Amino acid sequence: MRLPTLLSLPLLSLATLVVEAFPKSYQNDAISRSVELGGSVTTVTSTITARSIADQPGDYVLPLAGKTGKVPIAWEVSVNRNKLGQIATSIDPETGAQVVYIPANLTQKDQLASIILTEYLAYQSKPLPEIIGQDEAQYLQFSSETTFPETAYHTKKMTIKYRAPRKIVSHSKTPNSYLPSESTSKPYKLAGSSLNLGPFHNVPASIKTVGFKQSPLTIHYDTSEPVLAIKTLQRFAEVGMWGGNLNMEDKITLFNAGPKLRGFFSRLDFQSARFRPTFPAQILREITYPIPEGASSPYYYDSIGNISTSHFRPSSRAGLPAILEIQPRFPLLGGWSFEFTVGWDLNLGSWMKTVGGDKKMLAVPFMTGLKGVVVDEAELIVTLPEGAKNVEVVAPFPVAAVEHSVHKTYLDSTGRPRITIKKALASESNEQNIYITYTYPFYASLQKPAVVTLASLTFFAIYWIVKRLDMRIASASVVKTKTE
Amino acid sequence: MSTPIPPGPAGREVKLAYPIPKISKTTLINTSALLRFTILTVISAAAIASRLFAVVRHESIIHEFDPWFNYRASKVLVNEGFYEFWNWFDPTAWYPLGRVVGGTIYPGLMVTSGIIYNVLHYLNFPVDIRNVCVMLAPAFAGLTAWATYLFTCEMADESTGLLAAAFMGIVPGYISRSVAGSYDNEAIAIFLLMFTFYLWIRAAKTGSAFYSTLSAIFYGWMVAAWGGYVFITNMVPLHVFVLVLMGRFSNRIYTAYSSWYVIGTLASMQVPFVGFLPVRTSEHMAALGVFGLLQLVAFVGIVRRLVPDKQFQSLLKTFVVLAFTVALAVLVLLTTSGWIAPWTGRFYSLWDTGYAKIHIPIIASVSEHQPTAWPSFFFDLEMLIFLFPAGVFLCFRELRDEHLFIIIYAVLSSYFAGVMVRLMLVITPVVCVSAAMAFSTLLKTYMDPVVPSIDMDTDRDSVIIDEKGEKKTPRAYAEKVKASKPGIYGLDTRLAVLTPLVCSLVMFVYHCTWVTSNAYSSPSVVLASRNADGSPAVIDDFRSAYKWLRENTEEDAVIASWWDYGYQIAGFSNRTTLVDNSEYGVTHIATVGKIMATDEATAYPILRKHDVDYLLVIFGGLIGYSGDDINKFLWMVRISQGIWPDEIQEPNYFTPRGEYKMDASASPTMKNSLMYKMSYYRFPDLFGGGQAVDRVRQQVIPNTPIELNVIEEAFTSENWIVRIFAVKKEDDIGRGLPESTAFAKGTKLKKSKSAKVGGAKKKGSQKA
Amino acid sequence: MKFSLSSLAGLASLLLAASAQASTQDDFLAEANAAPNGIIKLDSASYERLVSSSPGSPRNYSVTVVLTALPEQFKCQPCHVFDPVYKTVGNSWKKASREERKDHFFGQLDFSDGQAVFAKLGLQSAPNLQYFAPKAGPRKSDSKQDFITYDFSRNGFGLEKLHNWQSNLAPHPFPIFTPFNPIPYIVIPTTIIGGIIGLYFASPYIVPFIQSKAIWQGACLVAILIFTSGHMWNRIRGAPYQNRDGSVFAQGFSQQNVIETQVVGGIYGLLAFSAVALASLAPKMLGSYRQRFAVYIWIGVMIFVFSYLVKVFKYKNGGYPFRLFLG
Repeated sequence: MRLPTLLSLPLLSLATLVVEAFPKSYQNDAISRSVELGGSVTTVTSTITARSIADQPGDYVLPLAGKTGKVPIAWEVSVNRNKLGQIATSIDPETGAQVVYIPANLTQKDQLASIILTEYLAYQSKPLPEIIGQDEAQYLQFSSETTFPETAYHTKKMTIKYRAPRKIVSHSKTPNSYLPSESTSKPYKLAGSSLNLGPFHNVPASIKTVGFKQSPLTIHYDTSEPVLAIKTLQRFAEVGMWGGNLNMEDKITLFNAGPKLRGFFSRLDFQSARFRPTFPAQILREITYPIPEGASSPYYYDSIGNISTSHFRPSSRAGLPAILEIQPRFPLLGGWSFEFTVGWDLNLGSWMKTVGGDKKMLAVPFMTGLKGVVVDEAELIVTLPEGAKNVEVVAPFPVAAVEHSVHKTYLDSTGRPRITIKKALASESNEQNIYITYTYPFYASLQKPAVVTLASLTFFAIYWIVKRLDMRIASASVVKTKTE
Repeated sequence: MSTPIPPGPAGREVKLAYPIPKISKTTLINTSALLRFTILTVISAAAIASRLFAVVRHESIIHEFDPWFNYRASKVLVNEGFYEFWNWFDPTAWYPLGRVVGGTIYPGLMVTSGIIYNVLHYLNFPVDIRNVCVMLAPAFAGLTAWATYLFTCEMADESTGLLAAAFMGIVPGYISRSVAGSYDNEAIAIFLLMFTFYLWIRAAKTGSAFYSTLSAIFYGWMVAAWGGYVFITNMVPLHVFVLVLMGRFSNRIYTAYSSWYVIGTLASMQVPFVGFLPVRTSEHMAALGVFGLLQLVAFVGIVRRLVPDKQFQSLLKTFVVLAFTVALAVLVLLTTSGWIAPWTGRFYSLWDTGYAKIHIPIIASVSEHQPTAWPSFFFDLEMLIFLFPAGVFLCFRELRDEHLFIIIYAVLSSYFAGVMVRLMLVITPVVCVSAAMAFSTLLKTYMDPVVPSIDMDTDRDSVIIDEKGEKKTPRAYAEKVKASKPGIYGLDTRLAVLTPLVCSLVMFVYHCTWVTSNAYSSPSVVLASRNADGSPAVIDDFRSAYKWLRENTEEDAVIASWWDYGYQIAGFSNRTTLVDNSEYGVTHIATVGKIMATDEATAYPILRKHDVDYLLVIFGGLIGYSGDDINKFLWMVRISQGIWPDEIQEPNYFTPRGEYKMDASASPTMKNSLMYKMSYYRFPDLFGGGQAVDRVRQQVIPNTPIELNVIEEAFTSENWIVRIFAVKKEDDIGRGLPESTAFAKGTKLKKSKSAKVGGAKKKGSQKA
Repeated sequence: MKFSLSSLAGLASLLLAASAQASTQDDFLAEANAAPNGIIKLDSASYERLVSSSPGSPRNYSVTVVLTALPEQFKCQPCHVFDPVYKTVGNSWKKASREERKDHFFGQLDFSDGQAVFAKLGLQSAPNLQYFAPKAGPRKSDSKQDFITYDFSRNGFGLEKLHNWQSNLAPHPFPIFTPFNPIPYIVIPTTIIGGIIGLYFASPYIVPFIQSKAIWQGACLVAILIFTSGHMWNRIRGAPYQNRDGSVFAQGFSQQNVIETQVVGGIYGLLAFSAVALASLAPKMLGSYRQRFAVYIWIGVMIFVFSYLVKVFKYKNGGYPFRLFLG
């Protein structure tokens, strides 16, 4: 913690005499960033008030991460409260920062646009201490290279706020540059579970400014919930044309990413912990798993059979998801993992609609997001009915791979088209529909019955013939005499 | 009451007790054929349905212990292919020895389900192998009903056959081993047994080589499927032998048996586990001997035909006898000289019933090897058990060759069933068949509408009084009496008998259903229980613990538990076990027994030498699960005492007054045993100062804290049924484990114990 | 080194004990010699004297005592079974040399003479076999419990087991001594030969028996009835003949008495016979009245006995929900 202080002195002087070497089309009146700590996902929301300082300013350059900063696993932008669709990120040629160009559609000088950027960072907090006993408290340490929001423009006023689920125990030295020289107040305010930095004034455009110094920050805070991560999530969706049914099945490997358990598990302590005021934070007893509205006949099992400890709560009113309360076979302590499968049925009608003739469009939610849980490897496997053709996939966010294959199951003759969609490091923000269009002619639906009928007819025919063949070596009379 | 109908077949007027509709012969035949088919189908359906209680109540899961191994083996078969399975060496069992599975099991079951699995998948039915295994037993039960039908048809007629099939379908004695999920050899063996017998009878009747070959092939399958094949191996020859003794030898018998024996023996020798046993062990010698005898008799028959001469024949008789005795003598000689192995202990213990208890505690300790008390006969067979002798009696009445088979089967199997509970399975088919014979005879007699033509109680002319004043039957009437065939007169008598019979059938069905659903339908891995509000719940401790092992221990961890749980650990949690349910290495089992029975100091070196990472014990004390390890503890002691009589003595585990107690009065040896310590570790704390009552043994456990030095608690399931303990490694800086434990606890430690265990620990580390 | 040490210790203790123990030891030896089979008949007092051992004068010899109840009024079947076995073992020890024999004694305490001892040890059953290890001398044992009890339930009353157990505990292993008994050597061969000859001459009378259907029939049916009524269980588990209070049926699903199985066998037999009677005898009757009478009788018997059987089974298996006309 001594290093930054030393650095900060030259920083001050530097900041004054930087030359910003490019046409100023925007400046930021204010950036207020709030960081939600806790869990394996950290949510960063920056609200930017941008002002055009030239006519026809063009696109607003919005950096996601600077050279040092960590790239978010997912992000959303909205301009004046309307959410923008998918925008390609690009590497800024001169600075090497990862940026997106946002159509702020401002026409002349002194117009304002409010831009809200929400970023999701994975595994930004690490357990500290890394090994704790069953009943000890669970602390995490958030560490980041960049305290100031990365920006491409000069910023008048910046405020940064960190919020932890519980008490913040300690934090490293906060940056003291860009503070109004006359202000005698401390550069930060620490109140229980929240830490406020700033306001900072006249911060130069971080990514464009040569030698702009970001200052790293670490925050050590207490938690009340176990830190969960999902190693692998496989969602199988199968379309049943005859039953008008869409079956979904999630195969999940859950992992407690919090501090590891020292020694072993004591049931006695666990059972007596219930009677203490605060339940140990690292122990996961139950997950509530939201599943789509109108889901029916849910099931819950694992590699060794059915698991009886679960409750299903249908959605209480329209628009709300149904809830699946799942207890693992054993309480999940730090470093333990648990593999299981949940599945449910949906009414196909509400997830697929016909778009002209034989053309169908199917919507399948890519995954079910759990608050603050990172999925290391997510996979969606959609199986379309036998005879479906020209399959096309539309994903609302970038995915790693889309694979097509053929899958044969009950009473299939030619097999069903199957699509596999993969993505690494998914989070709750990826809980969006994947759209699949395909053509399904009427005769295709008759294929299966036809095949079955044919097969059974041939079987009976063979039986009929065999029954009427006389396969005895000796003639009947001989056998008779023998028996007498 | 009686209505005259036009002349019957005999041309005479036939009186009928009740009118029957006129139906043409062809219609009758067709309808009956259709009915037979339908009824059989329904019976099979019932047989299958009544075995699904467990699946409906719980889920499609493999039951008990041995099935878990079969299931695992089947998975290997379908996943890695036949040849992999055939020479499968399982390193995770009997650590560190490993087990050559391919050559030490009866592969029939796995191969059967493997074939079914592959066929289904070829037809694009991606059925999970687990479901194939679970449903195999019910499916084959359906087939067994069919086989029983065929078998009984050979004995009597179709209606009897249907009755027998129905009995066989739902009788608890068979259901006990064939509910859905009990994936054991018996599941298919009984079908094979019945079908082999059917084919044999068929062959013996027709003398067709075709049927005897078929029967031999099914016999081969049976050999591959179940150790109980020995029953067939001796049953068929015995049948033939008796036939010969009764002078019923014929070419049919000769053809049937010779081809059966030759092909059957060759087929049986294809099974690696059996190999050359058929020519090397006493169990199979009867078959060989009878084969030889038949050749002699046949030879004699030929000679006799050539030389029709009295003395010569008697000479031949003696020759036969001599040859037979000589052969026997040679057999005995070979046996004594060791060329032919004497009876295996397992088989021998059937005859000398005291044998196992003394010499093979491993076998004696298994619950299903206990003798059978009469209630379990009634429990498993209800009314069939007393119709059974009646049926045998009727068999004696018309003594055809196949009836002899029934009689022999009946006597033998009732002996076996009496000696061993599990052999109830063998008696059940014959009970069903012969009970069905008795029952259908009753039904037929009292349903037959034909009334006897004469009635001496009503016919005036039946009795005349001669001059001497004596009653006597006139000759003319005597003729009529001869002519008349027996039957029932009154309609009331008919009803009086039929009604109770039908009621008894209904009761039988209720009995079977009750027994099946209460006694034979729990998968013993999952325990059914009730919530506070009375709603049904399951106690799933076993699986939660096994799952924990699977997910959160090292891949190569070695688990030591009593042998009962070996297969389940392998199947559920896929970990290496020290011992499992295959009675494979007595010493190994004894070693585990010793670990459990001795104190920490003695056990630790053994644990370390066997690289044991975790110890698993079953403890029912909290919720009253009586099948726990402490109740099996004495067997562990006995078995290990068999190997180390000087280190472990059973009496030391009893109180001075010779009681088996866990409370304060328990003997010190008991209190120091690992089993006691692991079971009751921190158990009293659960009651927070109150009396810690063991619900199984209804004893108060002293709440002096138990301290563990060489092991530590790793996992305990929700109801404490499964407790897993981790074995500590040697201390890094060479302290004795008690010191390190005490140091970790921050307490001072008592002198004596530390010295003891510390010393032991050093010993261990040197040996290890 | 170790050996010599222990022997020294033994010697020392011997010397120490000698003064106090010698007298008792010697006169017990005298008694043992006097007694047949070398088994000392004890009463409460002499029992205490024999097994007594105090730190001052530790017992330097080992003792085996059987606590039994031979007199008729106690009806102790096993006691009588065990008695000869125990005598044999005692007798075998008597063949050992005088010097060794004063290190181990066989005693027998009958309940009639030693109720006090039975009471003191809180023994409910007989026989019990106790072994007292010496408290001094080379074989001295320092185990807490002062005697070991021979486990009859596990070892049974067999001679070999008892002898193994005893000769391991005795000062030195000793062989079983059985007095030469010429009878078998004469009897067995004669019986065999006689049997053969007898068979040869009697064959004309025997053969019809062997060939008679009725006999085989009877034999088979009896065998079946015996086995299915749980006879083998009695053989293997050594079931008691009846309950203490003389009642027939034992409590519990997997418990049974000998008489119980006989009753059940009878029931089965009766039911089977009534079935046979209805099936094959009644139809042969040529008079409608007689036949009706017979049929009603037998069906009545069948129903009644079956109901009784179900009742009995209900008693054996508490949870059984069904019942017929009885109870």
